[in-house]
Amino acid sequence: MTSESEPEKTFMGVDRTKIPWWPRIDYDRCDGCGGEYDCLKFCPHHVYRPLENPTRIEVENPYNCVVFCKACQKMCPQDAISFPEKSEILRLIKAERARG
Amino acid sequence: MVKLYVLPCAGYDRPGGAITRAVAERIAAEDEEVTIGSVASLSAERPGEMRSLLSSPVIVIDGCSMNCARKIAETRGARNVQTVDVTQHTDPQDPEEKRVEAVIKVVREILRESRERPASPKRETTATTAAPEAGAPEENDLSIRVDKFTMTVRRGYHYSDNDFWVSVEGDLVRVGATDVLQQMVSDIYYVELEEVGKTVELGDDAGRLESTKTAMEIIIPISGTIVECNERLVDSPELINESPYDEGWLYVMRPTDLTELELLKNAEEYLEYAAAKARKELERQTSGGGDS
Repeated sequence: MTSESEPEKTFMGVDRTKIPWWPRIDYDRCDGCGGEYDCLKFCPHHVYRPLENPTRIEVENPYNCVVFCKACQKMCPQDAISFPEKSEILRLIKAERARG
Repeated sequence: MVKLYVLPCAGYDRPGGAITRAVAERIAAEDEEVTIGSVASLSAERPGEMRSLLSSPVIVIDGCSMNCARKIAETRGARNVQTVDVTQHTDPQDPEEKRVEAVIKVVREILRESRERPASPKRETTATTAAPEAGAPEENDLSIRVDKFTMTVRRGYHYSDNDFWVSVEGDLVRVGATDVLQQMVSDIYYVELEEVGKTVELGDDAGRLESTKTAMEIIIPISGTIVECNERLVDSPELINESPYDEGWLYVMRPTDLTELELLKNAEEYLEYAAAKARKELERQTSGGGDS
């Protein structure tokens, strides 16, 4: 099962671990959808891990997250998921590539 | 084991609605493979509900001839929908319990038949996804085969790591989804496009796609202003599956910075990336996570 959690190694030519793109969870809002975990069910990349008692979601594999994808944020019923600014990330990618 | 998705209309505005609900509850109580669907959740496109709908054979129970439940199931992309219309199997003069019993009999019969058919009829969608084979392969296309995937890439286009392409057309660029993307997401049944005039940055999302497997954002591969949308996709979203590099294009844009093309992959580089991605997907499927 290790292959499942293996991330893409680079994104746009930049080491993926240098790109801080993954969902941030607002624990004042996240209720794990009462055990339904909509984000977990939705995301095929094994980014999330469910927690119980109380039900919450946690980011387990941040670098599995597809850079620029925010699909889970849009479907979160509690609006508990956020991402970094895309323009910041793009700037960082360009800077990393320039450093070469 | 094949799970069955039974969708009662449960309509509040017709007497038949209550019957459909009672039937679904009774059927689910006697058959553990039956999941009761919710028209309300389908309307709101709750992801878990969508997944159940799209991954199971569907039996719709409609309380009247408006067939609301069937319509929502089909609108949401269900295949293999079998419909039971309460009005066709019961007499409205009969007491409710008698009508419930009559409909349960019909549903049980459908369940029995669907189990007898070997492995339940698979979605017969390969015909449409395989359509590109019918078209003459472009001279400019490169292909690679990885197990069951044969992925095609168009020479001269530029590719993002999010699986979208850019082709330069004079001062403008055309963007679309790659063949790799359309194969990974499978049959696309809904496309929502951003409006003309909107300015977007590389990495921004502009519109979205829904397929039988997933829902995803269109992630823009180059910064610029949208000057044209492919309106045909509204009625024919399957064009993305059938012709990702030609008729299935998404936007024409006026780019703000063409040097961004350097951030993208060329056809050869992308083909390699796509092959790696396909291998990973296959691994994922064989290691037990996948269900297709």
